[in-house]
Amino acid sequence: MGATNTYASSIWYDPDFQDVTHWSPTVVPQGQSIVFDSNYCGSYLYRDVRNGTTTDHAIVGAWGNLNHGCGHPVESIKIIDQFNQTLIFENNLYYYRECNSDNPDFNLNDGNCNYYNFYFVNGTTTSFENIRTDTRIVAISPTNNSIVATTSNNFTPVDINVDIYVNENDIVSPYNVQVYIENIDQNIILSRLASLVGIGGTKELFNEYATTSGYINYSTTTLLQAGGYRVHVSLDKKLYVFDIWNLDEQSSQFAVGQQTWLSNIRQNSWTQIQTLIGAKNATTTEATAKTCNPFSGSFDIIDCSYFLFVPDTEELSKSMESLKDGVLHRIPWGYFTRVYDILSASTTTALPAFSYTFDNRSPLSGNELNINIDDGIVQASAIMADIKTGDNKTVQEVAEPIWNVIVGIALVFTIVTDLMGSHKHESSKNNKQT
Amino acid sequence: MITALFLNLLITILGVIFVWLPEVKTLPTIGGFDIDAAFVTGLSYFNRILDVFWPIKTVMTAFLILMGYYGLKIIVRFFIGSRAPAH
Repeated sequence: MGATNTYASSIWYDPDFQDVTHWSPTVVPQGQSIVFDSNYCGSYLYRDVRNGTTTDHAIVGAWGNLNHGCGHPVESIKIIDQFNQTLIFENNLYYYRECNSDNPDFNLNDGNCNYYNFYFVNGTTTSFENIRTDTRIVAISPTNNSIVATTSNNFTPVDINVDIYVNENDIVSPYNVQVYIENIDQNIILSRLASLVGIGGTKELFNEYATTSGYINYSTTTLLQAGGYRVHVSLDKKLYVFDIWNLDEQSSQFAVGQQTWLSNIRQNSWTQIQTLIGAKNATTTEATAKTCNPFSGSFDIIDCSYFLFVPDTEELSKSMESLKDGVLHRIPWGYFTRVYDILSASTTTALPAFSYTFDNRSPLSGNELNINIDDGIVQASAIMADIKTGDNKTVQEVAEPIWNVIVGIALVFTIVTDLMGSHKHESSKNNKQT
Repeated sequence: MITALFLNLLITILGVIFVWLPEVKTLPTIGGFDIDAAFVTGLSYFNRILDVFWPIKTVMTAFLILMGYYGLKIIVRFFIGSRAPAH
């Protein structure tokens, strides 16, 4: 038996299985046993024995004061297997469950139990999606912001795959889960209106009820012209035919060939609206959105104001990109934008080499003169990089910040002078001229 | 989010207004001389030189900012005329 490590279970607390920062260590060396410092009773350890998309789990151990019941916390109880032996971890995925009762059943969806981080042994980190048991959209393909390469034909066959997970409690009669998947053509303004007259727009791919729980895959291949598209997936819990709860809703925007400015801007707006109404994804943005809800318990007027009025950097950058593509690149001002693009590019190309062969009139006739300026630049860079200060800093590292400040001050001075000079009255300007 | 939504709305409106204008992908070729290719190549050579003569890089950036300032001034003057600063 290998060495024994002791970990406090409290550092594992992570109710939504999303945040791994509280989870340490992530890997247990194979062949070691672990002693958990746990005050909880009725806790069980599971090993993931799933094969593909099946959801079987094996109980491989338990800890807590099983012999004494709840209310008698103990410490340093070893995890034991079903034969009452100290558990030796195998290379696998593990997780454990704590319940607030003496006799928790082994239903994974028991609402009285909390599911905690899981454990790997010499394994690589697997998606945390695997452990969640709520009905949700697991993955959409093509993924968000991906680009599908076009074929030589006008229409490109695009594989659309949607993986969902359905909790068994959500399909118990009379409830069921409706899966609605549509593909929205982003190229046409008011695509929904356009679809009404049959010139494009939304195309329904699936609209059916889930009849089994667990992982379900929906896939189809559709022919698409070059442009932007969005797959929109909605899971609704229904009572017969009536919507009673939207379980999850996600979309993935992709481009066939190249994304258009309109596609970008529409996706941005859609994301923002979804965030405002509270998307189901556990994201930082959603957490911030909750600060605007006075009943959420995390209401904060400062955070809420920031969330509402300060644009997200990434989305702002996408909006600016759309502004450039849709407006600033148009004739005639597009030429200025193009010049700006070229000026702001940081691409470098090796300088060309020159050679000259002396002709008959020269005493060096027949000799060749080669000048490679780029070689000189490379060597100069190497020399400059070699000159270092006592604390191993190059000349550039030392001097560049100072130089930047000098140039910055000069720039600010130029602009301020220009602005200040603009406020001279006409009379004083005239006086100066005379 | 609200600011971003308004911004997106504004960009969409501007995009729709100017959608009929041709898009500029490259600078024109005049008399067989490809200005865009020449400009791009020239700048990439220049960037290569800046790898060594890095002080020029900061000056170039400052120059671009200054050009942006003058451009902004022209736009502001266009919209509010003689009431604009630096008039």
